[in-house]
Amino acid sequence: MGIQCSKFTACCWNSQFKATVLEAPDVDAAENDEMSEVDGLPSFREFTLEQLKNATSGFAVENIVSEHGEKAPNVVYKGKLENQRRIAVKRFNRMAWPDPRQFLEEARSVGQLRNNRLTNLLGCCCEGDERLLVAEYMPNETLAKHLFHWETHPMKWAMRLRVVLHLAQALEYCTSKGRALYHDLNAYRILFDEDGNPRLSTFGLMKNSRDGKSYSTNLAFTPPEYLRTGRVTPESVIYSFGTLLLDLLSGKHIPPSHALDLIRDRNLQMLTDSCLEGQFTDDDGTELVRLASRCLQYEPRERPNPKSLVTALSPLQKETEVPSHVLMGIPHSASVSPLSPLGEACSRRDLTAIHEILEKISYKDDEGVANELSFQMWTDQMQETLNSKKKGDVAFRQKDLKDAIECYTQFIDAGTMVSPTVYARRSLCYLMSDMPQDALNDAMQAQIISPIWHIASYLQAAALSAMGMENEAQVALKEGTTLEAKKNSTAGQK
Amino acid sequence: MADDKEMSAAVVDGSDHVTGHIISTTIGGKNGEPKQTISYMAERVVGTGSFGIVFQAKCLETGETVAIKKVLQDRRYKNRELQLMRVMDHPNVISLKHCFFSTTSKNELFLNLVMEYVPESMYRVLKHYSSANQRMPLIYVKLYTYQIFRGLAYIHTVPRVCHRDLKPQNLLVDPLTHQVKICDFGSAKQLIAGEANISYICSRFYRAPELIFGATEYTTSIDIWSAGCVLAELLLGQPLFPGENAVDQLVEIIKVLGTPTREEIRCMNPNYTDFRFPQIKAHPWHKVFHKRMPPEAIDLASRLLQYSPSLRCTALEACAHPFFDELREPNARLPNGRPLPPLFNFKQELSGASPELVNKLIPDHVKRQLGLNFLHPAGT
Repeated sequence: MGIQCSKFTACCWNSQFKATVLEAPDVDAAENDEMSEVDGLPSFREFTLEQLKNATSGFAVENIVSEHGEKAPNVVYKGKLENQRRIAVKRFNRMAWPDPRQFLEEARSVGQLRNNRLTNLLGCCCEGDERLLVAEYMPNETLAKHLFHWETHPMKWAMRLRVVLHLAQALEYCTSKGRALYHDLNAYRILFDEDGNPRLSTFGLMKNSRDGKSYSTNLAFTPPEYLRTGRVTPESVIYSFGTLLLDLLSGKHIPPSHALDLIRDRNLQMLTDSCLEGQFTDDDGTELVRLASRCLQYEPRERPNPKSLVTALSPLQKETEVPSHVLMGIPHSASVSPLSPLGEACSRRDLTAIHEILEKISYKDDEGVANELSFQMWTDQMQETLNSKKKGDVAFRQKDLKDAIECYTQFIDAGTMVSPTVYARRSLCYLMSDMPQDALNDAMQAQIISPIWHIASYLQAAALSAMGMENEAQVALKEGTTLEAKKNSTAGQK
Repeated sequence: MADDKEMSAAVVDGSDHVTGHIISTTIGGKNGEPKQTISYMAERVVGTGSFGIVFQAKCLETGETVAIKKVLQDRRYKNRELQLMRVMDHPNVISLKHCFFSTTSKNELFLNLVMEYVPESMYRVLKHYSSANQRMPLIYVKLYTYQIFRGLAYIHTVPRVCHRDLKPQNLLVDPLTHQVKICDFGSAKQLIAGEANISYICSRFYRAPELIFGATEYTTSIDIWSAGCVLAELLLGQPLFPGENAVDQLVEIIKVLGTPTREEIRCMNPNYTDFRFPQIKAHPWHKVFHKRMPPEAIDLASRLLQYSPSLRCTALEACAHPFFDELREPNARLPNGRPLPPLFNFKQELSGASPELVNKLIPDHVKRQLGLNFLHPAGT
C-alpha cells in the first residue's frame, strides 16, 4: 500500500524521487545527473518528435487538454514520458516559429527557470516544421474553470487570495530572472498542481513570433498601451494582473475601464461575486480593489512592480495553515477514491484476480480500436497471425506464460493487426513471470494504441508497483480509476 | 374608449382597401375649440406585420406626409401602444400626431395611429452600405448610436418605458438631417420592479441573453443590449450575433463573449445556475472587429454587451462615453458641412443624473451658448 504524506517538503520529495529512480532499473542513468537541485526536476532538454508522439499516444485527440479541441491554432496535449513523468505538450501551428534557432533560443532561456510557482518548462522539440514545448503536467485544471465555471462549489476567498499571491510571486521570480514579459496573462494561464496549488504556465513566457498578437482576448481587457503600440511591456503584465484581481473579486468578465468607473463611484456591491457574501470584510475587499486600481493605472509607470504586489498581498492571506487541496476541495492523492474490482486487484497486485478479469473481458475492448479486416487482407500470413493469437489465448487461459508470451509476440511482430488486448495480456504474462519492466512497456504500448483504455493504466500501476515506484503507481491507478468511471458513464448514456 | 385625452379618436367608416383611399376624421371640438376635419389620402404600404399594417399617407388639408399604423383594436382593452405614444415627447422618439378609429365591412374595429413620417430606416441604410460593399463612415455610426441612446435615455427615465424590440428596422433615419427616431412601441411596456414580464419579446439577433434564459424580471437593460448589437452591426456591416434559432442565438453570443461564468448566469436568471454550457473562451475581438477599429468603439461595445444586466451601462452613461466625444466638438459638422441635428437639448431625462455626468453630456460650447452656470457643481 503506497502511503504518502500529504505535503512533502522540497528536500523530502527530492530524496524520495531519487530513491525511486535509483530502484528503477531501466531509467536512463544520465537523467539522474540532470536533476536540478531545486525541486527534483530534470533540467531543460530537447526531445525527439518520436518521444513526444509516444508520450501523447500519437497526439491523440483524447489527450487534448486545451480549449477549443483540435480547432485551436495551438493545441496542448497531456502525455507521459517513458520514465512515467507526466507532461503537457504544446504544439504550435506550423507558421508560429519559422526560425528554428529563435524558437530554440527562447525555449532554452525559459527552460532555465525553475520555480514551484511555475509549470516548469522541461524541454522542447524542433524537428522539421514541428515546434513543441514540454512542461510539467498540472492535473487540476485552470483558474478559469475553478473561478468561472465551477461545478460543485465556488472558490473560497482564502483560496482566491492565495492564487493572487502565488501569481505575484511567480511574476516576481520571472522578473528577477529577466523574463518579465508575459503574453496574454489571463485566468486560463493559471493551473493547479496535484496539491491544488496555483501555478503560472510557462507557455505564456514564449512569444509566438509570427502573429505578433500578444493578447487574444477582447481588446477592451488589454492594456491601453498595447492598443496604442501593439507591444507589451513589463508594466502591461501588471495591468493584466489587475484584470485577474477583478476576475477573482467579481467572478465575471467586467471590462477594466468599466470596473474602474464602478470603483470610483464606490459601487463595490455591483462588482463583487455573490458567492463571496459573508466571506470577507469590507476592509479586505477595499484593499484588493485599491491594489487592482493601482495595477490598472492608465500610465504604465504608475503601476506597482511584482515585488510590491507580493508585499501588498502577503499580509492579506487567510487560513494559511490549510493546504490548498483542502481549500479547493480537490481529492488529494493521499485519499484515493474507491477502486473497481480490477483497480483493486491491480493495487494489491493480485495477479490471479487480474488474470481472471482479463480472461473474462476477452477482446471486447478492441472494438473500434483494432483495425477491421477487409476480405482482401485474408491472406495466408493473416491466417498465420490469427493462429498465433488463438494459440496464445489458449496458453493464456491455462497460465502457460512462456507459450503465451511467445505466441503473442509472434502476433505483435507480424504487425498486420493491432490489438491493445494482446499487449495487455502479454503485459500480464510478463508481470506473472516477474518481468515488470517488460510488463510496463507493454501496458504503455496498449495505452499508445488506445489512449483512454483504463486497463492499460491499471496494468501500468501494477507493473510500477512491482518495480517499487509507488508514487507513479498511485498516479497510474488514479488515472485508471478516472478512465474507467468515464467509460462507464458514457456506456450508461448509450 | 380611448378618447379621453386631448386627442379624440373619432370613428371613421372605412373600406377594406388602403391605397388610394381617402379617410376623413375630425379633431378638436372640446373645451370650445372649433372642430376641424382632417383627410388623409393613403399612398402606399410601408410595413406589415402581425400587428397590422403601416402606410404612408398625405394630409389633404396641410399637404404633410404622415405614417399611419393601423392595428386591430380589441374593444375590451385600451391600446397600450397608444397610451405610451401619447406621453412621449422627444426629438429621438417618433411622435404621435393624431389617432382615430375605423371600421370595416366585417365590423372590425381598427385603431389608426397617425405619426410623423421619416423616409428611411437604419435597416435600409445598412443595406445600402453593404450592397455597395462599404462600411458606414464612423461619424455616422457615432451620430446614429448617440441618438439611439439619447432616445433610450428619455424613454427609460421619463415615461419609464422599456421598448423591448429595438432593432435596425425600428430605428428611423432622416436622410437629410440624419436625425434618428425610435419607432414601433407595439412591444413596449412600463416595467415595474418585482413584477414578472413575458420573456418571448424582442427580435432574435437583438435579444438580450437573459431573455433567452427565460428571465421574467428583466429591466430596461435589455434595450441597452439591443442597442449594443445595433452599434456592433453599424461597425461591422452585418449582425454581430446572427443566430439561426433561439438556441443558436445563445451559441452565437458565446462564440464572441465566451461562456457566461456561473456568477453571470446567476445575474441573468438565478433559476438557470445548474445548467451546463459548452466552455468556450471568448473569441478574439480583433477578429470580430477590423484592425483600425478605434479602442473607444470596442470599449463602448464591451460595456453594453455584458452578460450581467446590472453591469450594462445606462443609456445616459452611454451618451457620455468618449466614443461620442467627436460629436461634442465645437465645430462638429456633417460630412457635407451642414450642422448636426440637435443633440444636446436635454430635458427631464437629466434629472437624477450626477453633476459630473451632466457636465460631460453638455459640451462647454453649448453651455456658453445657453449661458448655463448651474452645471458647474457649486459646493457639492
